[in-house]
Amino acid sequence: MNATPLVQNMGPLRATASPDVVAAFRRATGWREAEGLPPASFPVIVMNLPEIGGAVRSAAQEIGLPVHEAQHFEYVRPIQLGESYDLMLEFRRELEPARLIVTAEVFDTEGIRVGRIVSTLRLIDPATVPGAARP
Amino acid sequence: MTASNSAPPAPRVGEKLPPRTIGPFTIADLAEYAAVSGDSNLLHLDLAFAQGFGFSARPVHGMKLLAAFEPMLHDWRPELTIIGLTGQFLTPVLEGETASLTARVVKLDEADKRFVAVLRLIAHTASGAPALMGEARLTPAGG
Repeated sequence: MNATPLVQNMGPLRATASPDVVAAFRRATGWREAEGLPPASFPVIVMNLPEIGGAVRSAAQEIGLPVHEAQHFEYVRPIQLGESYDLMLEFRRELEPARLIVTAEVFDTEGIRVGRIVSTLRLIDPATVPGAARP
Repeated sequence: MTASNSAPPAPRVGEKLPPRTIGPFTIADLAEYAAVSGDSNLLHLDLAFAQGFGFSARPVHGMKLLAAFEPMLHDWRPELTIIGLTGQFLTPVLEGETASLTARVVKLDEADKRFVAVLRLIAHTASGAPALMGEARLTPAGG
């Protein structure tokens, strides 16, 4: 048995909707014009933050391959180009089946709530898949 | 009071958006999305690794499919803004394959001259299997 708690909290972490990253995201997700507002799905790039990536890698090392199972975004106000936001994170582990659920409450730099992002990752034990390698 | 004169009309329940086909997806598409999103899971990028998990080719990121609904929604009603977007990733779409996106208005919440339209989003693989089921909630921008 490992000692990883089932719920961990982290934050605030600051993230910025940089125009160049927004443009790259729009190009990669089928928008005709790279220039424009951040899409509603843009904040999924917070998975790039080392603190979140580290938690996902840790879960992968303990259990197995993380597979994106579901994603949710909800907004009180849209994300604005060039603005910075503070994220309060919750990492929740479920055991049967194994999942990591990452919830980010998003606030502007004045502390006003902007929205919520929930990423649900299923953790696949490679031992259950014949021929699979560990991630 | 002039707000109601300039307010966009509400969509009607049952309205279907023009369907859209995306792909076929290349490894360059997957690598581009991985680079910008930070989802560099080997499953999407390493063929041998994906084959080890039973896939015949690299699966496309589910989030790339969900995100692809946004330009479709924007083209339909650019004056609306997305206040909710949800997707559950079901059958993988594989490298080299296309996906078809469909959306339909399933509910309209109206109050005080404002509305929130709820749309059901479905992506299918080229063979017709459901790849993604989701929902979008849209309201007039600035509302």
